[in-house]
Amino acid sequence: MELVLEKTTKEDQRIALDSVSKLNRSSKEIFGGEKGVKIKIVGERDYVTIPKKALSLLFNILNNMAEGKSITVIPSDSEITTQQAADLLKVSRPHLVNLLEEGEISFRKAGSHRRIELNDLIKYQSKLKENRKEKLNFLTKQAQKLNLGY
Amino acid sequence: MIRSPNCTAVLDANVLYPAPLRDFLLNLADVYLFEPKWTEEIQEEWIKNLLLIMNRYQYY
Repeated sequence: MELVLEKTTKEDQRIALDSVSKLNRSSKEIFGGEKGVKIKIVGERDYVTIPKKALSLLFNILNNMAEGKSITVIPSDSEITTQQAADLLKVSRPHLVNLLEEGEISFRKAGSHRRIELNDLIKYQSKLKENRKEKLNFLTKQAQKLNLGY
Repeated sequence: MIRSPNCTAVLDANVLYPAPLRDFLLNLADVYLFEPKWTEEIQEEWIKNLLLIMNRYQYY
């Protein structure tokens, strides 16, 4: 499993914050049109073309760094352990194992160990998010209907 | 992308009870600004009080 783990320092955060605000200003130029984005490095003669997808990942990384967060980049088809999955979702390992047993997240058994594909974990998290959004909308609508302070 | 908030906050019954404040805070949490937590006791308290007031005014 390939894994990039870097602790974000205060200095990183400062630089990221600065670059994010500058990049956001030209995001239309950067993300409009083509699949690749040309960048020029000071001192180099030629342009380098990098995939737009990679650049949007870089945007995400910078945004998170600007918030002072540390970032881990893991290829989405890699398999992780139950402990790693629990850490990512910020739940306890027993709770995660319950989710697996209940069929909420698919997994594979490697001997006696359970392995989870990162894709499936992300799928589960977006399902949770959708569910949450639905419930939040329901609560707001209900409160408005019942005249609860809105 | 799996995002997780930097900080955690306990939402007591007094901020879960007023609907606009509750929705505001929960929507902030939904965009990962913080991680909201409350206990079963807190949950029971705000719901109990809400049902009480709704009964009084016969909202349903």
